[in-house]
Amino acid sequence: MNAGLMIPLLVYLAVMIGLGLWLGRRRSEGGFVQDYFLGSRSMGGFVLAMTMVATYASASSFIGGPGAAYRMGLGWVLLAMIQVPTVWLTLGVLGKQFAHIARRVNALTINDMLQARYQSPLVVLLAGLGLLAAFVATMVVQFIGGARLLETVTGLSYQSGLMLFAGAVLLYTLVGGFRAVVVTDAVQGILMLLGTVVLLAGVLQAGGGAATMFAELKAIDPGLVQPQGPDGFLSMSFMLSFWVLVCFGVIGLPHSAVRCLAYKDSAAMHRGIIIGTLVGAVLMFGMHFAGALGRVLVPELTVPDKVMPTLMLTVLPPLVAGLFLAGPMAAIMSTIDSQLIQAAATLVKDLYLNHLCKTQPAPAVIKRASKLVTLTLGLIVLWAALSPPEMIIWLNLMAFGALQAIFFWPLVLGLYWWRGNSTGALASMLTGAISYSLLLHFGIKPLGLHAIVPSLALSGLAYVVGSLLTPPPSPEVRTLFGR
Amino acid sequence: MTSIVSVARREALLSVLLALLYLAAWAACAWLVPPALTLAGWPLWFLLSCLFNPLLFIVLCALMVRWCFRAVNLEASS
Repeated sequence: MNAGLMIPLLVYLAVMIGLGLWLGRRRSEGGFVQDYFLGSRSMGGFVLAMTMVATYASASSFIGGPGAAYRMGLGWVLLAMIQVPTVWLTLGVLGKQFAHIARRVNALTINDMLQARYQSPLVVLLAGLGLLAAFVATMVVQFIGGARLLETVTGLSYQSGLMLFAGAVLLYTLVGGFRAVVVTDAVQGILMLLGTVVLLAGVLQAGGGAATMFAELKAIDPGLVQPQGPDGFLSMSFMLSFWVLVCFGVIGLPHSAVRCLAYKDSAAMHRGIIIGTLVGAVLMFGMHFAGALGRVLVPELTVPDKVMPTLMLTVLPPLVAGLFLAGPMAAIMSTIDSQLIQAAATLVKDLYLNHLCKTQPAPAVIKRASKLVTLTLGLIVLWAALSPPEMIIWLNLMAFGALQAIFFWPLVLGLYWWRGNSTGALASMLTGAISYSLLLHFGIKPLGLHAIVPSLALSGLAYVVGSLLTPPPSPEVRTLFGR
Repeated sequence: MTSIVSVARREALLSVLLALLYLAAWAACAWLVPPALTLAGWPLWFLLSCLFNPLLFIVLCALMVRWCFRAVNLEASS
């Protein structure tokens, strides 16, 4: 075990828990549910930007992505840069309309929005189940990433790394709720940024400058410095699929979308777009570029997911490495905490309070139940992460796609097409979920495209056809959504 | 009421258009530049598509938000 590394890491975990405790203490207006699940709509621009980026930049961008770049070279960096427009797309497309309507119907979660728009318990139920399944899968990925990081760096076993990591995340999420989640996101976003810049500088210095390293990459395999990657793996249709999966499709991710409900005013949103885009681009570029160049410095890795922590240990002095390991760690923690809080919100608020219980339980009961549900979900995910696969990026992308196949059209067309109704939404969600899992399960790739592209096309078609075949939505919905 | 809806619509459209423009520029830099060309040791396609292009679009995005996005009162009921 390496004390020079462990001390900064443990201090960092302790600070995050402390922050959660402190933020959990001071809450007042709006009541527990509004506060625990949404932080009373008080986010400013900087925090909004950081929480968007931190939520989105997960274990797959910090552990899995660089791992893939290590194997595929500069072509994978090109692929990663597809994600530059995500922040302006998500906030620009959903942002204002979402925030405005959410305030009028007092919506706290995505499912509240779906209920207001489609007025159908069945839509909410289906959305809730889809959300839970996909979130459990992505949270497992995050836990694996965090544990891999601790394992590589500290020499702890994978299992104890997992316990330490999961313990810290669960504790501050439980205590602080949504507000703790966004504030720790902001702190973690800054650390991610610093960590990325320092690591990239360290890698470039250790390798003797970019030009030398490009030449060495070319000597290993000319494919590493070409946009097509080794053996032409990164084909045109593969890249185009990623345009749908990690750029346009991101609009349909519920844990990003919920951030559109929670910001303070439109100035916060405008600032959030600019800062978020800038920070996101720097992070994506820095991490993947470092991973690709890492092939020169540490050519013999068997588990590509370990490239990031290994590089940090190789190029940085131990104390600095420990501090900046917090960067990828932060990325992972900040994704998991927001998914955890949203999964709990789905179970407690959307499914239980809104649909299952006859009489509203006492506030103290709701409070205890919310925390209990958060804890239980965390423990389930922890249990599932105990036996990890080798490259987590594929697992993550799979869950990503499933969420998009279910939520994309009901969210986007729900906001911008007045004629859509609950039949359309139901048809779209079912078609998306079923076609996505069938295509993925049988490994069918029409025209070489990833399963997400045909599934989104089919679910969009189902939405339109389903809506047009049944009566238009009620007048209240039409006035609410501006028609 | 209609005003906030139309503002949101216009901004959503602008965001999508900018993203499509980014896609076009990204693809052009990556696939049209011959992979053998280099500049100061950097592969030219990489320099253009992964450094220059994102920087350009961050600036364009900031300009779009500054000049085209309108501040609205989210609490307003009509």
